[in-house]
Amino acid sequence: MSLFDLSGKIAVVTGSTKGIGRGIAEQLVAHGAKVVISSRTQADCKLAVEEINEAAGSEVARYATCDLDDRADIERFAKDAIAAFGKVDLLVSNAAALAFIGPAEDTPEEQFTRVLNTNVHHNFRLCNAFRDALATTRGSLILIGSIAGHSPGYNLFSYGAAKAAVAHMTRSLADEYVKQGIRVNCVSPGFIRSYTSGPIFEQEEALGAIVSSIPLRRPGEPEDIAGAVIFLASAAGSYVVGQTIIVDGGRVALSAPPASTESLSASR
Amino acid sequence: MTFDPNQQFDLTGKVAIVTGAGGRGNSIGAAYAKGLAKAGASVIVADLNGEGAESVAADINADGGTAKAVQVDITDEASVAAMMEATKEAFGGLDILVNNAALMVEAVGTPAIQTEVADFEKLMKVNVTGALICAKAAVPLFKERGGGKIVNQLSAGAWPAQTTYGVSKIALHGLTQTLATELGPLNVNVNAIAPGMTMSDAGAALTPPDSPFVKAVESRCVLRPRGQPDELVGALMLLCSPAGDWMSGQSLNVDGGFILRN
Repeated sequence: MSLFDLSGKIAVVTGSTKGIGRGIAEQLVAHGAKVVISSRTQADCKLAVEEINEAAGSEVARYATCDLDDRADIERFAKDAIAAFGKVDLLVSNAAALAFIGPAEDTPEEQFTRVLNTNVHHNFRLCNAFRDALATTRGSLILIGSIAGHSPGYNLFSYGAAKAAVAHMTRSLADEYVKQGIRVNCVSPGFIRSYTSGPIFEQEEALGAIVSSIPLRRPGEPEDIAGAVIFLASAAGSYVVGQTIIVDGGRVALSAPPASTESLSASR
Repeated sequence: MTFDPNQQFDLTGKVAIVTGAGGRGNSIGAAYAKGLAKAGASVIVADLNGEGAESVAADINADGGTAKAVQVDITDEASVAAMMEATKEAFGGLDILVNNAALMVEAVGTPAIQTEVADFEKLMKVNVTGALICAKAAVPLFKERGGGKIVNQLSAGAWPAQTTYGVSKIALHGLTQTLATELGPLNVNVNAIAPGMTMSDAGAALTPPDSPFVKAVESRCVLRPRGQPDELVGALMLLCSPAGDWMSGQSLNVDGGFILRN
């Protein structure tokens, strides 16, 4: 459908050799875009690019390495990524540092600082480094948040604080960048099957507890996040600005399990 | 790995009801019905105004789509039950319910404190109770298909609630969230779209360029204050298609920045 067509568009997706970023990159290609794959590891980038190009049957993917932990490297990455196909229509800022899982009281200062630096400060520098290139194409910027930034209870104190900042940064950047014709929005994933959540899938009880807290009763797949990204990046979302779309199976909207859930399930 | 873009947003073989879709001229409901038909769905064009519904359905059929008109009063359970029967008879089941029908023109111009109680009750009955009646009637049909999608039409005027119209729309947002929670286990996604200042015929009539409301919206709507009904269709496609299969309880604000600075 032409509404979601991204033919001729160049997308840069950070953290895109695996997991959610990879799912987004593949769906962007499926909808006609070319993508610049990125992660800190060159070998991973090369492999992802090979696989995507092979599946597409043409050179739709190139790569530029980026270590978001290293602020000094961001300008260099932006130059390389913009040069990969000569322009950028879409930046999906997906790379993140989980770094430390745990409650506030156990959070070491250096871990908190790292999570905030990478996910907020360096993320903002990354957006700024692509600003002129996106202004040239009147492009789109999509930040990836997390439901940990919208509600507590995931044992992710530092990450949650950082992702809450990302959701608000989305609104402020949207307000500013729109003057240059750049639309800024955010997609916040819920519990997704990926390499970071992988260990939980080995623990039946923990997995069951999580899934039963999701109204749609299943974890998300990386492809589930891609739909909202395609929407925001394409003509379909051209009147949407400064929004955070939560894609989480209904988890954040759920205040408490309804009394009737079991009977509904039983009558299925 | 799939490289077929059509799978994600395709609605071939799906059956959809759009209430309040019988607006002739420039109307959001009609744009929704036409958009769903274009994506491959068979569409029930439902409206209190049966002639209007016939006219929009005829447009869709003439354009190569599949549609049938149904006259319905969404505040009347028997009338809604008859609509569901007609849907089953025409297209064999139901996958998508778009609760678009609403009273707007009647409510946006009057301060809440000056609103007649009878008018407020009528407003809530159409904009909130009507959506609940339709959702209740749709669930048995969704169960037969193993799931379904409900999309409720909200408004940027719900954040914060402006006049009784905004009150009715923030109530519908609450209904969206509780239905998402209750119906999730049945594989039914419940979401909403909140348009900004949309230039449907009704919207345009309510927003003369020199009104203080329009001036206020223009001053804070960072992207573009006025949108067109067609610009809402993309959000509907996301929420009705496999691309939105893991979204529930959400409202998509498609408003050019209307609520951004709230």
